[in-house]
Amino acid sequence: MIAIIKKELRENIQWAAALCAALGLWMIWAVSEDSLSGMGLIGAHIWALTACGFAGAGFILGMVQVLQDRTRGRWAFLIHRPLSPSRIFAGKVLGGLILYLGTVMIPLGLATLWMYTPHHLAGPFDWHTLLPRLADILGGTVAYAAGLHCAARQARWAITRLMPVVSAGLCLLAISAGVQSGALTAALMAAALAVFLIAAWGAFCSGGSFENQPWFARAAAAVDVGAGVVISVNILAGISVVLLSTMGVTRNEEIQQSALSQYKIHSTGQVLYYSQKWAGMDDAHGNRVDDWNKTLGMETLALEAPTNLTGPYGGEMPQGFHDQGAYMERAIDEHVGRMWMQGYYVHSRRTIEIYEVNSRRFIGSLGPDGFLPPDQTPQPFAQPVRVARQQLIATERDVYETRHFENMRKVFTAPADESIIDASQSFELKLIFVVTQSNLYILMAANPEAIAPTELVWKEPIRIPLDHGFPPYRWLNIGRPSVDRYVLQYTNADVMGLAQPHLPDWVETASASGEITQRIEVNPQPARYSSIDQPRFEPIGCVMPPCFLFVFDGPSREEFLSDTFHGAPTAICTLLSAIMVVLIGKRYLRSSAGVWIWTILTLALGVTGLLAMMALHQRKAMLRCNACGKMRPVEQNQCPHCSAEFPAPAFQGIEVFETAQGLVAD
Amino acid sequence: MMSDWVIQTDHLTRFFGARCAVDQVKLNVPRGSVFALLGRNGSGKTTLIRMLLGMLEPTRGSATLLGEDCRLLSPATRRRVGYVAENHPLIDWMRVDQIEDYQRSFYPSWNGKLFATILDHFELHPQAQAGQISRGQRAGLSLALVLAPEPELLIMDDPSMGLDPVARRTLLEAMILVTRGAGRTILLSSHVLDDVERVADHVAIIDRSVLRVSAPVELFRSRVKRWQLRFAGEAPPSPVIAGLLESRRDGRDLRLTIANPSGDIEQAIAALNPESMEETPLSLEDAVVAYLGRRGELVSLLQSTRERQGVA
Repeated sequence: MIAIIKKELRENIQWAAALCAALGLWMIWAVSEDSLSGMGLIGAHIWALTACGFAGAGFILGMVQVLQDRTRGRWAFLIHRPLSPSRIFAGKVLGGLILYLGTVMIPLGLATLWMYTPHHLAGPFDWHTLLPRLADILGGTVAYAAGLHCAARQARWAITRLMPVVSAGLCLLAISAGVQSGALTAALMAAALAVFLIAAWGAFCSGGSFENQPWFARAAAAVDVGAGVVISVNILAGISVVLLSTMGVTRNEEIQQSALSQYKIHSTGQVLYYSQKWAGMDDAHGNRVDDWNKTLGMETLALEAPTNLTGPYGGEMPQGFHDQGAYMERAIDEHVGRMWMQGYYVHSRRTIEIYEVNSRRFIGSLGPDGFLPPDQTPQPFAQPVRVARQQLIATERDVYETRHFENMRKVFTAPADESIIDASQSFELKLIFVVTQSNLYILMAANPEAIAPTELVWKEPIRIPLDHGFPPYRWLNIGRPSVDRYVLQYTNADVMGLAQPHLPDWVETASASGEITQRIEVNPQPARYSSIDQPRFEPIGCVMPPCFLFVFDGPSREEFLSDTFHGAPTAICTLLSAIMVVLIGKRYLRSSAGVWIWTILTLALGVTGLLAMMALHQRKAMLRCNACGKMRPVEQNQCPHCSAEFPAPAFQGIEVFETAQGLVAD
Repeated sequence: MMSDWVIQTDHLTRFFGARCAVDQVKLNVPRGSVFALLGRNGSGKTTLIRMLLGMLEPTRGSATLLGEDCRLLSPATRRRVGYVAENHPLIDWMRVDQIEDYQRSFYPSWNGKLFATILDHFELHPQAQAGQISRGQRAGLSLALVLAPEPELLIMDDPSMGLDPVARRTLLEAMILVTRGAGRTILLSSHVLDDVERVADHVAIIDRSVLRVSAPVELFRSRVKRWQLRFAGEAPPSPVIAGLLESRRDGRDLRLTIANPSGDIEQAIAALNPESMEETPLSLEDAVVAYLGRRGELVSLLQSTRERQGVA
């Protein structure tokens, strides 16, 4: 097997070198872009390179490794040797992976070294930022295995040859977008790699034939190719709808985008909410309020939904750059002049490090005691930092106010049994809001006439109890329509376009002393925006797999059904596909169990199930039976209709066989 | 006990789509023989060989190679079988010595002297790159790579295809030199009947995917006869005779090639009242060409031209 590995290394080194050079050039550009933002290895350009470029390099290497041996009779030279096909495959894979790792690790390693060097990155280099890139390297091995499978399998249609890479692409996209845990990412990548490698192994050892593979290799290939077919068909359907829309065949339909929650306080103190019925305001009982123009002007400040509490850092803000708004420019001292500044929160040190963007120079660090120059180390924050926004830095217990990293001062400490979730500041209102799980604290300036923010003196906080708590996926908008009252609005947060389980909106008013004076509950109204029309063409929508019904749950499921699925066409299409599988399955499948399995799969996948079956299985050749006149498969010795055997070749009287010596019978 | 047959096939059949490439071939190759597999292009020889080596799945039927099912050939059996594929595929970027190293690493026994001898025979330099040597040298290198592990069975798919006469002769000599003495079995597919006649002791003919002949060369030659007839006037149309392979009419001459002629064949021919009748000797090449050509009556090109001009 060593010889196979050496041969693969030597044979494909030029491909690897070319890919390495291409990735290197791409890396130079990506690094130059991302080093300015100071994001380093977690920058968007490097992410695009490692996610797409590494996968592309893996796929190309996998393809060429097999295709080179498929040309000009080389297959016979490769395969006929005293080594099992599995070991030959293992040698190829090991050689290919060595090349792949060299191809991607050289540019990544050089980029890492460059970033590690001081003054190259406007931020501290953190080895943890390498972890997502290592996940991308693992992802590239999945694409490599998909490349092997693409090249090794026999494909009836040219386009179906590429199905494994389509499914590999979606698999990598889903993992990188949907998984935050490094260990889980690695586990899922390894599982995907196993599936794609088994499929490639089966195709390689069987010479590409699907039927002659062991069951587990066929199952892996079915997943591999089937997923690719489902994705491709749906992408093509989407493209078709867009193309048809240019021809005026489709119709536009408004889609429900989000819930609309808009509240105002009437001059009488009543809570009003926006009604779509007449594009005006209703009161809490749903009665129309005509003089809604007498509502009080209200500036609100939104606090984030505390989703980061459930994230990988358990409420700590992600390592990296926080809101740059307040730190963008600052005259640090006379002789440095104006600079572009960035702060970088470092988990391990619990300090915020400040860098100058253009020179990538380390300016100093920020801790609870304030800003210190580079040669001094500040005390770390006592607890992990949860929020660093505008002039506020909040840990679990304390809220600090700073202005351009100077005049750091603690302005609030939460009671011992409470933990700060979020904090925000309204500079116009001269207010600071601090939210814990059970209370909202409002800090009001004792000297609102002060011009410089650092001169503000904060009074004792007002406490407003949060009777509803602060559940995930909620926004808390805090408003102050007049000096003697506050308004608290709890609304739903739509995350990534997926509506979370909807709760009613809660709107409360509180007096200046913090007592709740009014509380209403309103079900949010769906909003329809004509500006987000979407072209629709139901006959194409029916290619959606019915099993998607079970993927979505909650209110979005009904929306999905009504908007995208068009139940009846999909059901008819699925049923027809299942009938087609039953009717033509015998032409593709060797056993009746196979027909059943594909019928069930087609009921779950719709028309894509039928297409996946046709993409995977070779269509059986049929001949007309001389005995009964019906079509019979060529691989069965007996006709399935009349049990007649295939006739022997016609005797011509010219045959010369030495039967006496047993050379040939008959 | 060691079987007398190194290759056995039983109703071996292969379809490509609805086209039958090999039709129910039942063939036994005796141990120690040089077995020539003959047929026209596309007759199914390569398909048959690829099925025997497990590179192609039979549609129906079965085959064994050195007693093992050809679909499940173990590495140990593959070690005993040498295969020279059509067009002599090699790893073109390797040098001759690199290919030797590569190939040798798979075989526990490697006859380096034999390898070097064959290289010398073909005037191959170890530093030459495989992609840049001549076709003849390529064939020689392929043969050397296959023979150096000293296989029990050598399967060669049209080894002399595209070679000039000198290279062909050199290859043939190497084959005879190395294999005959060792008592190895050779299954050889070829179009060069002259070469086959020199080395083969058994012959099999596949005609349009059907095996028509499988016999020792001498038996085959004894079973195919040719008569040359001359008539007083224009030769009559060919008679209906069992086993007629070829009938060629040219003016007053009629030539009949017949397989498995029965005892009363001469009477049947004499019934045509030829002026003269003579049984002529038949080379293996003539016999094979008669098998692989068009059946029944053929008109010579000259006669055909004359007739066309007459019509015009």
